[in-house]
Amino acid sequence: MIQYRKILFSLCLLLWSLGSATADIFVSQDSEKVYSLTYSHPGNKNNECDTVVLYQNKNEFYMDVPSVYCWDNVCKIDTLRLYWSRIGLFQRLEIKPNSQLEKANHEFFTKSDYLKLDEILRNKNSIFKSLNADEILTSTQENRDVDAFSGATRIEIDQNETVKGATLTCYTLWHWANGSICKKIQKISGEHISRKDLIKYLKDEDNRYRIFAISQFIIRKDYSSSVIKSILQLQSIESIDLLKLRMNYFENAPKSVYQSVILKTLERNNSIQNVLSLKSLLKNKNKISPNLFKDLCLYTPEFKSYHEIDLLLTLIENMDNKMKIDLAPIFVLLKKSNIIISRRAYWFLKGKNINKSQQEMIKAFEEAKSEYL
Amino acid sequence: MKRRDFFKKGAQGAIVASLLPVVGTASAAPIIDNTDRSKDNWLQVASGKKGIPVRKQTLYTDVLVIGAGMAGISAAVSAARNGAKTILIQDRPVLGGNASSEMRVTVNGAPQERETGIVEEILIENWVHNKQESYPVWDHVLYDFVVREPNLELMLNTQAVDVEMNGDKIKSAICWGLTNETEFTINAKQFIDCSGDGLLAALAGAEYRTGREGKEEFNESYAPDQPDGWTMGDCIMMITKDMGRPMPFKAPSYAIPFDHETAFKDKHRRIKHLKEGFWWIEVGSEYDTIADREGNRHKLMSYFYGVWDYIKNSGDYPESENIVIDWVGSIPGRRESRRFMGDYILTQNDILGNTHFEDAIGFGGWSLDEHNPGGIENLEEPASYFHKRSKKIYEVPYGILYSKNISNLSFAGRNASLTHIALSSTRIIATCSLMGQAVGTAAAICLQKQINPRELRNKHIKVLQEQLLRDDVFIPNRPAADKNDLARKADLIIASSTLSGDVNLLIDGISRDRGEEVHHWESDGMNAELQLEWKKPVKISKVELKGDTNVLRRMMMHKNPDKNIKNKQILDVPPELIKTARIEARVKGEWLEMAKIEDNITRSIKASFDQVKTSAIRVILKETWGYENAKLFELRCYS
Repeated sequence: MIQYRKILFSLCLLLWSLGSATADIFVSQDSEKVYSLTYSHPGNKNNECDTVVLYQNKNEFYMDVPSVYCWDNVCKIDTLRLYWSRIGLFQRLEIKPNSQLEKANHEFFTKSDYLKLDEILRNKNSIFKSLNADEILTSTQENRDVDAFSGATRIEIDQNETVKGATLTCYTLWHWANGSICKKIQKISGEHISRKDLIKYLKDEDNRYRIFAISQFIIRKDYSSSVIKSILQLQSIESIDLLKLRMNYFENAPKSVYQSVILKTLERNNSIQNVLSLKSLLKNKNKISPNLFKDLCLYTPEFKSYHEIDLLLTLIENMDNKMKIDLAPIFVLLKKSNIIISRRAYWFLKGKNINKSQQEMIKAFEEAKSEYL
Repeated sequence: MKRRDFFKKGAQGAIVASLLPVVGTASAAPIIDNTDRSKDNWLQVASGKKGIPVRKQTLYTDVLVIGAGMAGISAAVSAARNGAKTILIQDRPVLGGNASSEMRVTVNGAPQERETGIVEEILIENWVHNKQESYPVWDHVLYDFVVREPNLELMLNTQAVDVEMNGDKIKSAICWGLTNETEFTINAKQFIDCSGDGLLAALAGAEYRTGREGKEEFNESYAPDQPDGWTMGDCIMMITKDMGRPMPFKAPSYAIPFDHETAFKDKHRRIKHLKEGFWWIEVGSEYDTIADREGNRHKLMSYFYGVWDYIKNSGDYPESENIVIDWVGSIPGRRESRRFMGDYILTQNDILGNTHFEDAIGFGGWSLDEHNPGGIENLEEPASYFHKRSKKIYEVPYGILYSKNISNLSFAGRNASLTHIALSSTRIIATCSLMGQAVGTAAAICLQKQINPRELRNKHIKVLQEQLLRDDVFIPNRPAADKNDLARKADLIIASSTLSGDVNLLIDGISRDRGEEVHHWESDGMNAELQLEWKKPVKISKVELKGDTNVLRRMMMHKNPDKNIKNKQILDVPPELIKTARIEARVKGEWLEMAKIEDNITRSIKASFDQVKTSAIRVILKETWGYENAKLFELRCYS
């Protein structure tokens, strides 16, 4: 049963009439906050901004929205309540008691229609993301005239991607559920969420929470040791977006922090992570101290893929000549069975200032692998 | 009139003559010889002497393309690019055919996804030179596109009016230059008729048909119960202007009053806007639309002005008060006339059933947009039946693009080997352009192998398909598998960064995403690098990339620029396209620059350089036309 907060609602109406801006404007006895926001819904044919009221309780945000923007004044408009998590992920929708959504020809939604609608709203990559209201409208008209002389055919929406007879409703609600309201929720949460909660998010199974947390730590420039430690512990994660963001966090850290952590991001047998770390070093050459550089070269045997080796050697090639490097670990690469790697090492070493026995190793390699050079 | 080197008389010749729906007999038409100028009484003032104009020339070429609409341009350019010496003749002063400023039919294509290849090159180039979407300027964009092509000679205002045959081969086309009073005998090895009406092909004796097939012949549910002679009609279009003040209109004497009450019973006959013409002002013919051309043109103008008179003077359209006609066509755009028969005839069922063809060379996707017989003269029927559309794009086979009985003749466009119903879909200009690129490429391959199109289809179709795929024609269900592509043999491909897709997809043979199925690599930011490594060095002189132009976004010019906005078009070079890049090769451990790509405006980017022996190639993508990342769909290397 949905209980509307009538008192809050009235207060909000009063404040709307006073033209209030987006703000945390009221805290109820239930510790519920209310925000007045402006939002331009793509289904609004006048391209106007709506003023909407967003509520926040302890765990969620919610908002009452119209089911459809009516372009021909013959629609039945229902009010639904949408819920989002603290990081702006659509959670569910609720409809008022004794109310039902309608499709074309005044048919009510069936249970499977509601399930389909829920599925659509959860799909961030739904077809509704890229369509405009005009296209939605013409897609619902039968036999819009098309002709080779004049113009385009109407969009056809796969029946699996919509609720038949309620395409405009699906479109409207999708843009409520997944529009810029989500970013506004993230911003609100980001401003108020505690470090403790963010660190908890780092441990969440859902990478979206981890990503949110790291993003907030970047915004807050929070490089406290507990946070660094927690973020460093995000090893062996498969999400490339998460790994990139993690690297971005470290790259934005003070130089001393970066220097102290970057090698700790390297992982045995994790080529994807190592490539990210090495690229980061290549981009942040100015942060590499002689000691860091020396320690990095010691990691040479840990790198297994050509990409890692290539990045390492490129980094060395781009470093200041004053940085001393021990070439011995690189000579080890000449023995690799992967000719692409050993050849790369060969090209790196040829022409370097090396001792006699190392020269002989180079010569032996040239003779043995001449067909590959 | 037909000239034969070795004229075979007798029963066979008679049977052939009786099957051809010609007016008169093959030898009855009088010969008008405009080349004998011996009676000229020409005083050349400069020399004080009398002279005789020389008005006869004989030309030799590999491929002759007749008709320079988008199909003909694509055929000629592709033939020339593939090494054939090519002549393109056009019987008008401008290029483009139906798409030219003279008729202004929009270059539409499959709505499901856009065509690439030559047609896309032209559309992009138009946004560089003609952002104002001027049709006369578009004519000149096409002109530049053609005349700058090496190996290709353009002859405007030149019509093929006769043929010389050598058995079942065309030996030469006899052409008349309208502006230079000159008869050209053009000898070629391969002939491609993209003229729409196909006069040359008809004169050569290529089998053709007109009219609507009945249901039974090909089991087409949308065909009429019985065959009849109707063809889809011709149209003239307009563009209007708002003068900002009331502008009265007085109809010309020949205007036919518009029966709007009957017309508007069909929901497709509507005055929805006043910006451009009305496609349903259309006049067809029941027997011989070519012979009826001038009469139909006059009728079209009459009906057109009748409709405009209704709009301006009925009082039903007050918004028309300040609107005037700024341009109106004098040449009708034609949808259908002759359809020449090939080894295969494409039907409704192929289109709706998505038949897979081993000899596919491109695709279509438009609906079966069959217009009613009679057009505006048949207001009892809907303006178009708008039959079904295939959800997916359908394959177009090579077998419909060459004559079944004239061995060195191909065709492309609305005159290909199709049923009337199938034509209602394939007649779309971009589809015709793909056909043109196929036949032009095929003609060049025929020359290289000294064969004719039928043998190409039967024995070497993969060669044609591989070349088309390399030239960025998309063929559904046919991934590229070019054995000569050294990128496919690379032992390693890596990228400096990846935002989406995978670098190894660049050699999977599919040069566009297929719905959710990804076939691209996208970098994370610019200055992106790709590197290919081969264990053993290879010899390379060409590196070819296919960039991104978003094939789900339309690109054409419109008579009504509001359509650009509705279609969410970008009125410029696609921002995703690679603008600047560099190709490097590693030689003895050193990276050397082999090619620089600057101001690139084509999806298919081909870089050539002196052959180098190398174990690695690096592609550095420096800049796009606006997008923040580099996105590619294919990478190829050739020796």
